[in-house]
Amino acid sequence: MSCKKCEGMMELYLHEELSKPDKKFFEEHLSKCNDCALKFNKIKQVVSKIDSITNNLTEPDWDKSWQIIKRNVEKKPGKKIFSIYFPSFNWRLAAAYSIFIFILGIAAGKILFFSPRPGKIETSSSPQNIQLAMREYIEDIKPLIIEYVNYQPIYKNKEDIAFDKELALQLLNRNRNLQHRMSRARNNNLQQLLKELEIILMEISKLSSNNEYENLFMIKKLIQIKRTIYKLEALYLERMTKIRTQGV
Amino acid sequence: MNPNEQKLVEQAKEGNMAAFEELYRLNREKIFRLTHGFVNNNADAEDLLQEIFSRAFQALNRFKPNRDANFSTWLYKIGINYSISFLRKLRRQKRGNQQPIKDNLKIAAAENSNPERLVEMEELKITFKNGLDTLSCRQRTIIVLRYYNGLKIKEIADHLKCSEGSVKKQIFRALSGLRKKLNVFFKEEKNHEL
Repeated sequence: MSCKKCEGMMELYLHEELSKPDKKFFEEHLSKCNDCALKFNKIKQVVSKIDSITNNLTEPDWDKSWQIIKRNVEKKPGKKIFSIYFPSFNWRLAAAYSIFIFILGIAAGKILFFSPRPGKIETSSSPQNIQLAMREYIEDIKPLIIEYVNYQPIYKNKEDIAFDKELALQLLNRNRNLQHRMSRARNNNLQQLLKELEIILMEISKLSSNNEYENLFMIKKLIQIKRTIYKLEALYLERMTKIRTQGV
Repeated sequence: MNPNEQKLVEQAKEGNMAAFEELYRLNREKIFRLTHGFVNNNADAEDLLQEIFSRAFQALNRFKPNRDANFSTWLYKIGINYSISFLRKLRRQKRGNQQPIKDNLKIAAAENSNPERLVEMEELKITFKNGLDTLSCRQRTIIVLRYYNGLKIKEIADHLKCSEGSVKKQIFRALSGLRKKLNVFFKEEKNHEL
């Protein structure tokens, strides 16, 4: 510990900058410790060499230097203008602002270019998504089709028809959406089925609130002719939901 | 801060060149010794001195008497930063000053009446400069402030914003490093003594 303390004092001792107690401690320690005495000797030698170098500096031509400074100062008004507009310009602050703007830029870019737009997922044309959407669609439309194929005049009243119309309109929208997504998938059976379902749904959506037996029977007949229930069942058993895709 | 110096700074801020010239006159030697400590040759030290004062004048508006204690402290700060960046640039360009010094050495030896002593002195300067080059920026700054500018340990600690103990430790390490570099000269001395 005292050797470490002594090392720090060596240079100060040479320049006579130690307090009296420190000087006494230093001299006493040096008389006892050979290592420190050796180190001190080396430091003393090097300090004397440095002093001999630093004491022999030749002075420059001060007036010539001043003339150059004056010329430099008059030549560079640009920096002065800079300091007028940015009186408290600070590199740290500038760096902090740059980082902040960079992070803001990344966030904005992510929002603008990578965020999913509303409805984007639904319109995805990946085979898995179409298959899933198709299954859900069949699940939803099947009860309505079964209801109409089993139609009997006593079953339906005004409220039922109004409800069916609303449901048919929703299913019609989903049908068109699916058809759009299917446009790139080469599956004629599915596309055909969707078109047939579209016609049936359009007919249902056109029904007026008055119980139109003729039209209702026509829809029933249409479903029977087209064998829609059979096709839906086939799809439900996943024999037709395998979408062959090419270029999707 | 010295009231006279403060007045001169205020005047210089308003563009009074006479006031700035007075500030130059008061501080030129300190800054020259500082730059010489970093570059170890008169030509570069003079260039640095001119550049530091030019920059100081441009940046006078940024000098805050409350924060920067006094004008010379502020100048030292500019001087140290600029000298270090100059040295780094010099190292990047790999433009050592050894060759011009050797040339100077020949010229000086031819002109001087005691050429042997002068050659020895020049060699010592070259070795010392090479030794300084091996030190870290901090150690080099401390050695320059201590030996070229003769600052006290406390003043150096204030400039570098560190403790006095740290400055003492760095001085000891730097001197030990320089001692190794200058070893040749001490061996010669021993031989002379014998």
